[in-house]
Amino acid sequence: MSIASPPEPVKQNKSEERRTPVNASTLAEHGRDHCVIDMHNLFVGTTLEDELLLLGSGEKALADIGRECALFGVRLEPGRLLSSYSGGEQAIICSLTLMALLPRRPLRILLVHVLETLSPRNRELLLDRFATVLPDAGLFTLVGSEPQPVGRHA
Amino acid sequence: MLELAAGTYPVPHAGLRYELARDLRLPRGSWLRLRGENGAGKTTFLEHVLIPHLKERHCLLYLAQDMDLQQNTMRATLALMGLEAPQGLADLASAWIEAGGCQEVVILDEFDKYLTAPQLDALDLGRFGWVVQVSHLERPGVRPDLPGGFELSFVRPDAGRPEVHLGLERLWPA
Repeated sequence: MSIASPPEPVKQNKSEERRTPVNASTLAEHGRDHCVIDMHNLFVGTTLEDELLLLGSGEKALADIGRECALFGVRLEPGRLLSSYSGGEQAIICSLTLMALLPRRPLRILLVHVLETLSPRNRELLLDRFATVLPDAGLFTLVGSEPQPVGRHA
Repeated sequence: MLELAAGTYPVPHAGLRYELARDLRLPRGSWLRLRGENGAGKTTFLEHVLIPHLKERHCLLYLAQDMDLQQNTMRATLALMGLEAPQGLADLASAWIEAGGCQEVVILDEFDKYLTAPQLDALDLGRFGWVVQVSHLERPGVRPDLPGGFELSFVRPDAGRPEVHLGLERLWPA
């Protein structure tokens, strides 16, 4: 992974260029250089507990993610399928899971249709949590088909 | 008139109960925005309250939140009708809307996140009698193509409880 610049200050999404079409190959195209959270290919397939088990993480990670979710007004329910949460809640849960599991080092994180799925309050909060929890990571969104730092076109 | 009577609308399987304090009565030419925090139940309201109540009296088009799935349905529908399915999502949606022939109510659940403003304009939503839209993107100003603008806010005071309070506000004309 290459080292990314820190994201610029958080702003509302106001650019018309930011809209990105549905593209099933996003992960294939950008997964080599980025940790991708794509609303159309979310990495949590069943329940969060099962996913954490598969990833070798335990109760502590689950508790941490649950606490973070509460900041967003999302209430994690034990054993609930991820797909049964609302789209915005899925975006929050997956982002916070990634945040909890990734190492604290420079990474490129690509958010595809994640920020647009969040309420303005939760969008600001998510970007703030990324900046706090993974300060060395660079956040990107797709502009057309190219990753661009979050905030660059806001 | 697009109408939903004031009252309580339970959706037990989703653990939600909507409380609509005032009648929703929107004249033809209205744009209704649904606004609320993530998890407040906007999509559930669309799919389990509003659409079931409207479908008996109105012709509806629904562009769902999960466009990854729906675009396959759009392509299949166009193919069954012997029509060409364009590649881009905006063109595909336009072709699907045209093929449907319905110009009464269009419901868009976060569909705007896939399109640029010019692409959204090209859909010519003003041709519909009513436009219902869920969006977390910036709030548009007055739309000259739609005489009335309204906002239905969703407030769920406690994520652990089913109550969702719905509040209607007129955005334009003042």
